[in-house]
Amino acid sequence: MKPEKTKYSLRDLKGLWPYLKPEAALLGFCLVLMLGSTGVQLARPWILRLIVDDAVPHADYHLMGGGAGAFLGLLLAGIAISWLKTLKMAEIGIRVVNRLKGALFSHVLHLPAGFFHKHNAGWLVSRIESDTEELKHFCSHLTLHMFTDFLTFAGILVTVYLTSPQLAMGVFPVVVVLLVLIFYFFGKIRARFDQARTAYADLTGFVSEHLGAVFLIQLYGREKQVLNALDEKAERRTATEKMASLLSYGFWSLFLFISQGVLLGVLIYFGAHQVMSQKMSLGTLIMLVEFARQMVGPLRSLGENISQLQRSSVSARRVLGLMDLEVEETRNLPEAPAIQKLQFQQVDFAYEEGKPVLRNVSFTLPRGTRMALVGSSGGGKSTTIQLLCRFLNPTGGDLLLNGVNLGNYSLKSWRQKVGLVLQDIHLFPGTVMDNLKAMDPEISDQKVMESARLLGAEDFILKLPEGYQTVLSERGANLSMGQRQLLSFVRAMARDPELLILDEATASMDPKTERYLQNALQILLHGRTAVLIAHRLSTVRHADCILVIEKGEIVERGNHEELVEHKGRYFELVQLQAGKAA
Amino acid sequence: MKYFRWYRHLWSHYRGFFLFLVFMCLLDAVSTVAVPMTLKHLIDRLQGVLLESEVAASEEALSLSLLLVGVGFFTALAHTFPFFRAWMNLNLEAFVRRKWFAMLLKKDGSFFLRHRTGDLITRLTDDLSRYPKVAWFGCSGIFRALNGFSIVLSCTLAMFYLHKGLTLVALLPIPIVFWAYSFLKDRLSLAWSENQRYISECTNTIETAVSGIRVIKSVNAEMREASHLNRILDTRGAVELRATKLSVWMTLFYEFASQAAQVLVVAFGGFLVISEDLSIGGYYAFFTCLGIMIYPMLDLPNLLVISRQAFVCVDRLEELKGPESPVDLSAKAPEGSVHALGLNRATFFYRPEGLSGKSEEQPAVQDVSLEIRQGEMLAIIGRIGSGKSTLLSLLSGMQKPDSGQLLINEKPADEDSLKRLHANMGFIAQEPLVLSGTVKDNILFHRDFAVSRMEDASEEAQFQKDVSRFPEQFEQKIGQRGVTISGGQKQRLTIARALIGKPSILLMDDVTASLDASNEEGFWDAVLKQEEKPAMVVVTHRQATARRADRVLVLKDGRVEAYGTFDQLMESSPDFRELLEDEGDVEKKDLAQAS
Repeated sequence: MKPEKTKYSLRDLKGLWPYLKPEAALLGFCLVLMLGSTGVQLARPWILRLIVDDAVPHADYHLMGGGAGAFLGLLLAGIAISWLKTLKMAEIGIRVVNRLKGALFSHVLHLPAGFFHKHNAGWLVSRIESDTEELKHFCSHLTLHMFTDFLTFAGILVTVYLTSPQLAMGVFPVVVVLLVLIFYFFGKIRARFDQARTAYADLTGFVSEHLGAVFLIQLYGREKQVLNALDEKAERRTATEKMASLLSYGFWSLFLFISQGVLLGVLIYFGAHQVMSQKMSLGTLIMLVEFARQMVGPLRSLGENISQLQRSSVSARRVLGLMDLEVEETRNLPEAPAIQKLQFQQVDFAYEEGKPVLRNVSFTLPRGTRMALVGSSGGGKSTTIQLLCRFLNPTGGDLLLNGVNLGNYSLKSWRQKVGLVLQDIHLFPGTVMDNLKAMDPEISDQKVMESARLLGAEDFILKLPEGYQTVLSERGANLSMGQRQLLSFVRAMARDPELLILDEATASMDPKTERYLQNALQILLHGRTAVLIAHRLSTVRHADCILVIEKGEIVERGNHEELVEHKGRYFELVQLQAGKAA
Repeated sequence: MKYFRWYRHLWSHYRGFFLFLVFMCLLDAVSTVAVPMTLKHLIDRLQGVLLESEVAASEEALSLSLLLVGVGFFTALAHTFPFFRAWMNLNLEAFVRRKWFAMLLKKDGSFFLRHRTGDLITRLTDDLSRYPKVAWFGCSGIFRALNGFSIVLSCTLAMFYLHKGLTLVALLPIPIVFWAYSFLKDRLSLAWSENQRYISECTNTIETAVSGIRVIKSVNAEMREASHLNRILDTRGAVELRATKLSVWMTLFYEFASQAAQVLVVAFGGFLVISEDLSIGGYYAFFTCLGIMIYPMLDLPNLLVISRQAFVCVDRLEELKGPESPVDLSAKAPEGSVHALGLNRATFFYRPEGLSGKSEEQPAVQDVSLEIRQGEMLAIIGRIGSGKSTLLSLLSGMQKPDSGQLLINEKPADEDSLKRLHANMGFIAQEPLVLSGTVKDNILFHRDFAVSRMEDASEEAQFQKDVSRFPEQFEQKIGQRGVTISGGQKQRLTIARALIGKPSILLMDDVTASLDASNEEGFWDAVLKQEEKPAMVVVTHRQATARRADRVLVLKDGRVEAYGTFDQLMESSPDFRELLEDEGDVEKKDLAQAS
């Protein structure tokens, strides 16, 4: 996995606005509520002063009662506001994050297939699920809280200044020190949290992969070694996270010392002098002490929210970074026409520069023909197929459809025409029917059943407990490999493809099933174009054209008879298979 | 109580740390209450100065402010507390994850049919490490509660000291809180556990979609997958909001109760001051103490509320306990070889979660007996879904027969002999299972073998050619589930992994399906030329492979249909003849034609 960039800024969070925007009105409403609760909070110390300076010295019970009444009123208002705002903000957070999560998931699915070579599922789950959850708080509470905290803080400073400019001069430097501290540590801490998150993602990836391979671990009795490897990952996670917490909480202690100890000390020192020289009433001093204590709250939560903001910006960066990746197809392209002729024109492909996987591959595939690819493993057969599906784009040369560059047509319309049956069968959680339809509502049950019948899959499907409605366990673990391969065939055929691509699609079937399938295909393939890869040469001998691919290049081409006649590489392969059968 | 025991057990490994955290709690409580008490002293002193109309010495003010700075220092010290809590959270998290991971490593195949991997991942990652779940609650939750409680207690004591009557008035609204808690707690727990279920479902959907991306793309299902997730998200959002609503109600009751206390104090305290039962400093300190108490007091039931979330996750962990092979992870593999493997009337049913009750009707393998000895080769042949792979996994000991026995060295398998079997067995699955990481990591798979042995095994597996073509050779990274290498390469990699340990038992599930002709030839040559040929069980569809075997077993619907040598079966079993392909004949014909 690539190390991720650790430099970023709060600008990363700006990209979230489009997801927040639909909630703008509700956010505004919450803002008003928060201003209300700020006002309530600021009003309380004034009542205290009123009681200490006026009600108590004059033994004014009436004023005393009024003060208590006002206090009660403020409390009730505060509670009502807090109830409403918590609820509304939770609502916003949930909606925004779900919107983001949905959009991110959809975006990721549309990324080029090559992207998934580089990132494992654990990593992606962590991006789509955990990182977006991290942003929930940001989208609901964080921004508004920070705003009102700032307002409270500023309001208090102004009040202190208006009450006693002299005293304010003593308090302000301390406040400045506090602010500088907050911003100084801000940068330090966020880098640490970034490291910690990377270590956590790494750990999660390890856990998820090895939970998928328990079978293997048990088989080779590697439990102890795997646990040791887990410990190593966990240790790194603990160490990085611990470092980040140490910095962040150490900072808080310092902050608290200055805000609780030094600030109050300064206030009392100056205030006591003024009270003693009767320049200030005792009630005013109490009010100021109360304000100073109240200021710590918003300052503290400002700081806390800054560290939360750091975490959010880390997450936002990851999420939006994914969002910025270009999807497979960005332009609106015309629909691909019916296949008349498919051509590879001097196609090259390389994952890395200088290490070509395919070189100068050219062939023409007229409509209705069947082409087979044979040759040693790793020679480039599967890459050819991936290019045909447009999972990969050629690094040189062109793919032409009816003489026009295939890239000029929309990807979706092209894949609509392609039925792909892979060696790695992937079944999704859900029923057999869901899987066969690939969740496409346009495909009818009848169509699926018809394909299943024709391909000889219906027998075993109907033997399942609930037939087509049987729920498959994870990746179809309750089916045999051959059964899954057959299902994947049905899935491809139910879509009525113009071009059928089979990559070792019958490898796990018994010969009888395969023969049945071959016969069925003779009928099903009528009028369709097909490309197939198979090791068993008996499977490919009926193809109209056979390409022998070795080390990324086509070394021979022709039909079975021609190639046998030619006595080249294909002939060698035929001999090998005949030999071992003898 | 169950959860108390659960966490107590967890903490029993960290006694010293526990005591230290308790000490920090007390320090924090004392330093917290010291602030208002100092202020009381100060205000009363100032009032005294005012009443006496003396010109006070400025030293008085200086000493008081220095006192405050001192108190602030202790407060700061006590506030390193959260760091130690966070540290301990991490320890607990690592401890629990390790323990459960180790436990999962002992589960047999049927367990993994019942639990989706995505869900297990959630239980071992998010359930553990996210706020406010298992690990967070285990330390931060508990100690924040303890801390809150000690602050509440010390403030209450200080208030008692200041004025007993006023304290009683202030504490009047507390019963409301406890009533609210007992009323809401079960509903809350239910709501959060439902929420948790939807989180798992989301993770699962994302995981399977990302793993099967090529299939999704090939059928243009990107948007349909996305809207599938969106539907789950909608429900999840509604469930989460319902849970949040309940939580808000809970806090609301609490807030009301505690703040009502403040009003009572302002009113009654004010009258007490006027009637000179309480000094102004005392009044202010009382008010401050109550203010300090509010957050911890709010936190306490809040912690009780979110504890439900942690407890749900604890339950989800506990659920995973249950039958597991009692493998001692620390023990070394027992010495001794395995020279014979067999089954005695073995029957096996699949009972995955996904398949409802009816699945019991048809066993996957029924009443199968067989035996294989070192140097022998047995081929298993049958149509798809006939139980071949299941039979192999019974032989490997990964699945246990529902009736009948697995025989190792002619004796029913036990713990020891199973371990011995695994130490001497190579298993090549039909579907190659590879992990991201390098080729080397995958071949060695956490075992220690010399580089030369790895090269030899790769050679035997016909994988060396591929390796030499990788830019990084054995250090080549192969990506998630080996996406950067071809299916055949993956298969050969797993063959190398199986052969590297020179197994005396080799189980192969239709391995040759993904080998091309020359590769397969080389593979058999390498395996059969070994001095001590292993006992081999091979699932195959190929006549050529079946011909190599000493005996052939034909499976049909999980039962043994025929058993004997190749030639015997060719004569006696029409099923067998039908099952075998005619590829060899075709090719021979071609050759005849060509010459």
